[in-house]
Amino acid sequence: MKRPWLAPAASKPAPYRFFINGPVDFLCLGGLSLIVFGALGLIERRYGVQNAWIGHAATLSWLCNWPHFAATNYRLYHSRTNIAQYPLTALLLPLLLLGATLASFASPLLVAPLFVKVFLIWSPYHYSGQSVGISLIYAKRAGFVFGRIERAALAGFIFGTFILQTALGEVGTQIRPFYGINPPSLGLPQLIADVMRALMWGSGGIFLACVARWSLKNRRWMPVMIFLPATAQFVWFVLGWRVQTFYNFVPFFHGLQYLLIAWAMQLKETMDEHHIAPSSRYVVAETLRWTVGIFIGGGILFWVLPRVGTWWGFDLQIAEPIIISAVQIHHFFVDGVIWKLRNPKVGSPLLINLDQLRLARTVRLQPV
Amino acid sequence: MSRAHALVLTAAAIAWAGVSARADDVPVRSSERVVLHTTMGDLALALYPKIAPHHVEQVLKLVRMGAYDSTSVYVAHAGYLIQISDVTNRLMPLTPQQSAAVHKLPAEFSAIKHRRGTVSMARWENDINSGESSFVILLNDSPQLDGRYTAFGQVEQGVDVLEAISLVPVDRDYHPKTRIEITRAEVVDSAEALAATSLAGPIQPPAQELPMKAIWSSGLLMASGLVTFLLSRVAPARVIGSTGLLTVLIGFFLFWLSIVPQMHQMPWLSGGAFLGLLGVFKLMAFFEYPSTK
Repeated sequence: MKRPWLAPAASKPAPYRFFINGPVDFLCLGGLSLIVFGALGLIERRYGVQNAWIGHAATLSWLCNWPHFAATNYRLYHSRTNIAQYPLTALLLPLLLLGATLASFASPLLVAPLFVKVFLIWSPYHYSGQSVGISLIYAKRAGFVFGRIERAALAGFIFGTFILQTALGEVGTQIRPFYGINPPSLGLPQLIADVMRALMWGSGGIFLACVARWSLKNRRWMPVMIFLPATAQFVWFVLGWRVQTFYNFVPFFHGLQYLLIAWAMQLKETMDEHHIAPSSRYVVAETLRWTVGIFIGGGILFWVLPRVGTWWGFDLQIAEPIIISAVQIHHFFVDGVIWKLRNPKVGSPLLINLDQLRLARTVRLQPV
Repeated sequence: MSRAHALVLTAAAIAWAGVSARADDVPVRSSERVVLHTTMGDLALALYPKIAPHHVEQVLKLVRMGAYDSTSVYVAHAGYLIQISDVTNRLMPLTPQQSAAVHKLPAEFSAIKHRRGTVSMARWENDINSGESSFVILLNDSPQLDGRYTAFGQVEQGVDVLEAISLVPVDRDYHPKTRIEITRAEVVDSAEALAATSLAGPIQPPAQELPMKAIWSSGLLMASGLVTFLLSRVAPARVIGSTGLLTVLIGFFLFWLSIVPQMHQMPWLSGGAFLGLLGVFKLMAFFEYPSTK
């Protein structure tokens, strides 16, 4: 049997296309980053680089990026069932990362730079995985199921953006300090970056060709939300470096994407777990409880823990990069296990809409 | 008591055989020079083929075969001598050919005085014909050794290196606490060739160094293997597979640790390591892969 390139409407569209609504979803899942990129580009062109924006980006990290790490940990550790389901991620990995952290403290000139380096390359890889996942969620919501080729092409483009940027940064011998640690550059040959650029554009071209073919055949446009994460990712990693202050905001945008979905998931799962009836009051109360929790958690992970590291006599400029690398690598693993879309326990709640959580179901009494 | 230990005690034995000699004669030096490249600098030795032909022949042969490579300074006695270990005690095992070339040497005592810089073969105390490959280099005149040990050469360059080696911290048996290795020994064909060779001066002794990378690497991989084994008795395949993935991750990180310092000289290695890292990330997506059943 011939395998379809794009299987149009192979599944029934979900009742709701968005988590909240079109504009809010658009802004949270990448639209805001496109707007900020444009705005900062104009500002830099007119007024030059404004360092104040870097401070704003740091503030937004407090607001969004740090809590998103805490949200992941909360999802894993808040129930014994989850811990029992993922014992290695929940129990063994933290010990292993503690070992790596101690080794980094013991060898700040050899082990620590490489430990940080692994994190620095893994981080945009992780962003890319999330972008692919979000595209698939919206495709599913719209009733599209990607075939193998177009899925690979989309992933190739999204991952290609980060690989290209990373490869370009690793050509040569320059060192980019990360706090007080100097991770070595890999000294990649330029050819690797050139090949990655070709792969990125090639994958993007194949995906667009698939989409065009499908659209012509079905006389329908594919929903914009399916393209949004890939477009945002392209701006973050490829175009973004043309606006010097912009890349400081990228972790915030990644956190924002994540929090929207994690929040919807949290509301749905808590509701199902405790058999709570939908209501606006429930949504507000649970949102507040969850938000306060992940804000505190984010502060513990990114402010308190690095300062604990200084108890061993290390400067914060050394302790901070080592500890946040460990925290984030753990996050990459946790995200990998708790957000598998193929898992029905995950995939199904990801089609939720806010209205389903806040509006009471009307029960029609049927005549006997 | 180890063999080398006995040898140094022998070398240190105070005795005077009263061998008559033409003490001030200057012995004929061989055209070849032996250069010892050590972790603390280089030494050049001239040999006396007319005084101790068998000793010189064996030492030159062993040096040419690479038998002295990865031997070490066995004794460092400040103000007295340093002793190079027997080739059988070197870090790398001897090849069959090298082993076959090591023979006991008949004593070749002479009137040559044991003075500062003299190279003399070590031997068992109770057997004057037991010298093989371990030799001492004197830091001071030692007349008590004259006529009892075979002097077969003289330090020609690197006395400052010799002094530096003699001052390293040692234990109560004068064994250096830090390994000072003869990384390579070579024969230079003539004094002129030696003059054209650039020899390293005294180098600070390396810090007390255990092979920490190797210890951590093997320890971590063993621990991971042990965890996998223990889990295999109680855990489902998903967990065991994930432990295997952790072993891959640990192994890759240790691999990186080994090669990153050299990456800039080998861009294709760095390219492979970069792509390998991306592959490891991809592999980690299967870590504790949830069951969809």
